[in-house]
Parts: sequence; structure tokens; C-alpha cells
Amino acid sequence: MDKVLIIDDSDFDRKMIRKAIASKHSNLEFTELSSGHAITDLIIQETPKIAIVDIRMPGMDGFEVLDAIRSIPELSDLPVLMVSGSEQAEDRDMATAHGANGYFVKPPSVADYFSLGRSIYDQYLCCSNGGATSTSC
Amino acid sequence: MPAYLNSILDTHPDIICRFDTDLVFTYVNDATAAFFGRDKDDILGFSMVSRLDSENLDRIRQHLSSLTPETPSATSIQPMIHLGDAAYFHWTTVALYDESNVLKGYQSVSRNVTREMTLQYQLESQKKELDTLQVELRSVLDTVPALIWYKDDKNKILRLNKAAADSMGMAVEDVEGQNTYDLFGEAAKDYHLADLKVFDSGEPIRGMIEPFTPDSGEQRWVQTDKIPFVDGEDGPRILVVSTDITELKEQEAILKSINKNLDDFASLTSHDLQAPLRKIGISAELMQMELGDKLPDEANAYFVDIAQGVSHMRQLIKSFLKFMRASPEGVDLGAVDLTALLRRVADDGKSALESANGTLILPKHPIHVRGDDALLGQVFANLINNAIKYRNENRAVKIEIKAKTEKQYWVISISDNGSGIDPSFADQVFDLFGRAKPHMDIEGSGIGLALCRRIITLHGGTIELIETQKPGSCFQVKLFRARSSENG
Repeated sequence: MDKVLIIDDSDFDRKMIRKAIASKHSNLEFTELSSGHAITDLIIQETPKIAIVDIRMPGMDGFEVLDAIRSIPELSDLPVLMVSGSEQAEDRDMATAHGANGYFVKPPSVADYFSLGRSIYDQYLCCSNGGATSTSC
Repeated sequence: MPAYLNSILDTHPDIICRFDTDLVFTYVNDATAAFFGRDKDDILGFSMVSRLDSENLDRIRQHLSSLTPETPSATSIQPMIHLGDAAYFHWTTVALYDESNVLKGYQSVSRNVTREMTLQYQLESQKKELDTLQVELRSVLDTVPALIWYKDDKNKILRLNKAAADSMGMAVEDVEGQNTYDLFGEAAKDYHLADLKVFDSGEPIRGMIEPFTPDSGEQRWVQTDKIPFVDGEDGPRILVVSTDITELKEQEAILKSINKNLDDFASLTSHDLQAPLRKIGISAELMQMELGDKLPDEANAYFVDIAQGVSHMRQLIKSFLKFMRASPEGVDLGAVDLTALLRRVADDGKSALESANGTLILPKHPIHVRGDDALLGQVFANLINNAIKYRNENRAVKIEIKAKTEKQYWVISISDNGSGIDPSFADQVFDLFGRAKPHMDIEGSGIGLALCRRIITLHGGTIELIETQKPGSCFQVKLFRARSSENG
């Protein structure tokens, strides 16, 4: 079962991201963390297929979390999508600069959320090998 | 006297003569005769007393009286009246004494130096004028705050004003004649290159902003004009006028930092407002999706209101963010159909107006202004709400909005029959938290009118409280008319 790691300080947003990605697929397992500090050895050993990280979080922001993930050998190739509450050009640039695999703004409606969830599933989760090259499946 | 000597003396232009102690001429040359305007025979044997007026005679006597056996010779320039005109004569007179120091007579050589004296006087006068001019020029140059340099094409500072010297912590005289490389080291290279560009092209450079670092001072910023010109035969020169803009630069940096903070604040605020808004909107959507079938139609209708409210709020946040980040000039304003906008605002506030038993009269003619639809909606909603909020309880609320054109503006007046505002609070009401005192008991944030003014100001317009004879208050908003091409 593919594992999805969601790191966001907002319970509501974690729930929505989970609902959106899982809307049509039951073969996924979600690990939800409210902070990057909560990444443990156990989570690392679970080898998630993708991580979705909120940018603005108290304490350790999303970019610091991304840097931390990239410094863990087991997770260095993990596809990481950065999420922002509102469109910010600098956030998009920073995400690219920090080596994120993607950036998206939290959608304003349920329909948009589900559409985004499908897109994430198709791109990163539907194929066993995953990653950005899986768009053809 | 030998004849050849006589001939030489007669052809000499100087006035050469001899006279005895009674001033009787014993020898005169042709020039002397010409001086008196008489024949030689009419002078020789005659006393000078009979041939000169008393004024000239007095001068000559005074000149002669200075001669003594110890100093028998004297030279002086005497003003005289010669043939009716003022003239100057250069006199060299020698008193002739015998072996016993008894005065026997005088020998005099004089020359008309009127022309030389006039030229010298003119020269002195011009020099004086020049000196005055230089003092004035120096005073002007030293008074202006600009740094002024005057250099040649060899990078030598020929002149500079006090401000320029002060900026280097040096005295004017210590800098004049110096090479800029000796004063500024490597930094002089950039100045020199710019100078050479001006010399080569013959075209001035204006408004150049450059760092300015004298050896002994902190780095400063100057805005410089470099103007070339040719100074006679001395070759090309350059006038460099620099204005110290260090403080301006510092203020600019502070302003940038403030704007950055404001921008960060706006982004953060926007983000923090978007999050709960998204939560409200999506939760309502989910609730309708999951429970809608079980709810009565009336309850389902509320979901539409929630969605509209969320959408409106989201639009407002976007607009505010855009305005917070952009300078008024940079805002891309479009045409706003104000007639439609007012109708929409009136609809939104319908229930509040109805509960106050009020009427709202709107203009029906087309009004198109340049602006942001959402933000202007906010302004007029605020003004209408204020009219309702600050109503006079003794009469039914009546609000009237009128509009007329005035040059490039639409002037929109919003008048009511409410409790009115004391004219002494006319400005204060637009301050942040600057509510008019009589209304302190009525609930309000004190932000509304401040926000209105900020929005209108960002549109390049004005908003003010107008004094009227009628009860109530009247606000006047001036907004740019939309360009005819935008009215669509």
C-alpha cells in the first residue's frame, strides 16, 4: 500500500488534502504530521511515496522541512510537493530553489481540491515507480 | 648748445625746458612750445606765471618745493588742465644748484601720460569689478549646497567650491590644482572615465547617481551633472555639479524596508485571512454535498449566500493585497459602471435599510469611473451603512446619492438626514480610529472612513465631508471619469 506523508499545521487542510487524494482510491495510507519536527525514524522507514508539505507553519517552515527531508538519505529522492495558502510568486521560486518537485496553492473549492487530488494521484501514485516521469500512465 | 643737439631735442616728443628761480624759461624745445600752444619766441624769456593758470601753477610750485640740494630730483604724475582738457603729465624735474648750493634754476622733462593713466584707471576699475564679481561668485558658489568642481582634461581640479572641499574634509586651497587620482585613489578612475566620455562626445551627462568616497570620509552618494565646455585657449574643461543625495538614498532604503515590511504584512494578512475563508467555504460546500438532501430548500439557499459571501470576501482580500503592494501609478484601474455598482451595494444592504425604515435614492444615468470595482463597492457600502448607523431616530432614514461631472471627474455626493457630524470633526473622521465624538457610543471600528479615504486616494481621487444647510451629513467623492474607450 502506497504511503502519503502530509505535513501541515492545519487539521482542516490535512483532512482536505487526504480526502482529495483518497477520493477515488482506497489503496493509500496517509501519515499526517502537524510539524516537520515530528518526522521520526519510523516514518522514514515507512518510505512514503510522496510528501506534501505546507510552506507556512510555525516554528519550522515548509522549506526547512524540505531541506530536512533532503538531508535524510532514505528520503533524498522522495517527491515533495510544496503547498501554500495563497499564491505567492516568491514561494514558487523558493520551492524550486529548494528542490521541491512541485508547488500548488490550496484550492478554494471542493471541486478544485478533488481535481488536484486526482492530478497528484495520477502523477505520483498510480504507477509503482512513481516520480515525475510517471505522467504518461 | 650745438645745433645737432637742438635738433634732437626739438624732435623729441617729451616737453623739455629750463627755467630760472622766477620760473622764467631759459630753454624750451618744440614740444614745450606745442604744450603752451605758442611759438618758442613767445615763451622764451617769459615767466611760467604768465603762461599757466593758477591751478596748474600751484601744482608745479608744490612739485618744485620738494626739491632740496640733498634730493635735487623728483618725479611725479600731476593732473593738469591742458588746452582746456583734463590731462596727466609725468614730470621729472631737477633743481640746479651751484657749488655753494645756491639754487640757480630748474630743468624739466615731462610727458603727457593721459592715455596711459586713463587705460590704467580703466584697468584698475575693471580689476576691481572683476574682484567684486569673483567675491560674489565665490560667495554664491560657497552658499549653494551642491558640490561644484571645475576640472581640465588631465583630471586636475582647477577650482571647486567650499561644499565640495568640505565634503572631502579639506580646505579649498588644498584641493585646487590637485589631481583627482591623488585625492580619491582608485575611485578616481570611474570619475575620470565618465569625464573622458563627456570630453569625447562633447555632450553633457546629467543625473548620474554614483558613490562618492573621499580618502578620509565615509561613502556618500551624489547625483552628478557633467557639463563640457572649452575655456579659450586653455583647452577643454568640465564643470561637475554634484548634489549630495546620501540622506535621500538612506530615506529611500528606509522606505524600501518599510514597504517590504508592509508587503510582508500584507502577504501574511492575506494568507491568514484566506485560510479561515477557505475553511468556511469548503466546509459549507461539504455540508451541502453530504447533508443537502436532508435539509429543507430554505436551508440550502443559505449555502448560496455563504458561497457568495466567501467569494466576495476573497475578491476583497485580493484587491486589498493588490493595492497594498502597488503604487497608485502602478495600479491597473479599469472602467467601473458606478450606477450598477451602487445598485448592487444597495441590494446587499437592503435588509439594513428596510429595518431602519429608510429610502435610498440612486442616480439612474450612466456613471463610469476609473477604479477597482470591489474596492469602490466597499467605499459606497461603508458610506451607506454609516448613513443608516448614524441616523436620527426622530425621522425615517433618507439617503440620496447624486453624481455630476466636473472637468475630468465624476463628483458623487452621498447625503443623509441623520444626526450629522460637527464640522470641526470634518478631517478627523477620516483618521484611523478618528471617530467623531458624538458618535462614540455607537458601535463601530473607526476604520471605515479611513479605509474609504485610503481607497479613494489610491484611485487619485478625493473624499471629504461637505458642510450643508440641511440636517444630516454629506460626503463628496471625486473620482476620475473612465476614458471613453473604457466605457465598453
